[in-house]
Amino acid sequence: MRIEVRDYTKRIGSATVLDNINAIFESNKVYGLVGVNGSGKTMLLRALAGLIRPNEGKVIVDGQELNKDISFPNSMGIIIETPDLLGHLTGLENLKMLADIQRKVSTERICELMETFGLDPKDKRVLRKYSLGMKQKIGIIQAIMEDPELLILDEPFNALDRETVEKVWGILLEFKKKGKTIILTSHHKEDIDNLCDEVLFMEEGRLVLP
Amino acid sequence: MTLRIVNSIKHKYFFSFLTFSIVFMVLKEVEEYELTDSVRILFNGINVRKSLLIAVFVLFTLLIQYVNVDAVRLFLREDIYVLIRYKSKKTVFLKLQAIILLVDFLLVVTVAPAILSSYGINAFRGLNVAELMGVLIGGFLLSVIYSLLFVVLTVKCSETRVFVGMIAMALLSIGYSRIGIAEISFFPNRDAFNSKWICFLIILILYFVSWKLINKKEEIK
Repeated sequence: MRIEVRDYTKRIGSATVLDNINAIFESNKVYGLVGVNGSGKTMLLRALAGLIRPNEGKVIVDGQELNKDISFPNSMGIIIETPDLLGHLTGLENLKMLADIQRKVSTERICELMETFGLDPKDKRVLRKYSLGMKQKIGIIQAIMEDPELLILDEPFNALDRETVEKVWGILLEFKKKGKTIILTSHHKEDIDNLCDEVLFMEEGRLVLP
Repeated sequence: MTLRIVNSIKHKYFFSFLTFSIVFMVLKEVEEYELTDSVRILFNGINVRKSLLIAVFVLFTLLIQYVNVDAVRLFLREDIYVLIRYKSKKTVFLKLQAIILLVDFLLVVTVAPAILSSYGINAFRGLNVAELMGVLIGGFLLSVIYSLLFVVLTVKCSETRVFVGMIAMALLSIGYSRIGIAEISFFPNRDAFNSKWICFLIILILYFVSWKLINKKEEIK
């Protein structure tokens, strides 16, 4: 999947949260967005996902303009903020509910992914009783379970233990090998160094040179 | 997905059934109301002089939100994961409305077993079924109105504020109970005709407002 961001500006009230962004994201690559809190990383991810509309500029995904030709990229997995779905359902029930929408993934596959991440599919505990790390794992599973062409991950390694972080690295590198496009943010240099082919630096809503 | 949401709130319907049963029991044994009047009180808060009857109506408006809250929360608050899978806001909006209609319909249907458990099968003898159906349909339309208000308010405010707001709304609407939302009848008469169209008009306006608000939600955030 090829994504092109052209002269993208987004203002909320009087604040310019994204300022004239230009960037190209290609298949078969992992991109890292780096910057301090409030620099506009999450907002840029939201723009790439079609979750916000620009005041100026556009995002083009495989030749189709977001918010004009299509609402969202056709095949996308996403984590933005800590996923907190229906608190009174179990992790498996939440994942099955999301999987029901497109019917691209079987229950067996969901259980398999849960086990890979050290979660027990038969766990009767409801999501609100999950720890932050467990919720984050559910978030990652929902993002990757339908084998999307584009992965947009905002701080995917938050609250994860070392072992799981390394597992996710492996899964993401597998995704890359399959020709997918991955765009992620992380505050940990190690994540960026280990995964990313290209790193983009953000400051006050602008892409800047390192 | 619709069924999964309905299945996940089965315990809420059971709680609603218990609540309705207790309410009907009180209205029958303490207030000595007839069956149809009890249903009308539940849906419309008629006879506002008695605080007990106001409480019954407020309780009903809160139960509507109690069963709706899961769907609304999923579609409005955690919408990103749902949204990208449905691929358009319009589909998400329509799906939410479909779920709300089903959930509210099931809530109103819960009234039937509650009536049976409180009044018993004998109460149905000689009952004007058309009149009761009219009251139930009125109750359903009222549920839809409150659900849509709930959606509109949830887009703009926190859930707690919305619940408080809904209580206030229920109390206010008792003041307007002459509109007689629960008086809708299958029999043509001018008042019933008017109240039915008022209901549909309110629902249409609320659909329009909620659609506009959901479309603009990113700006609100």
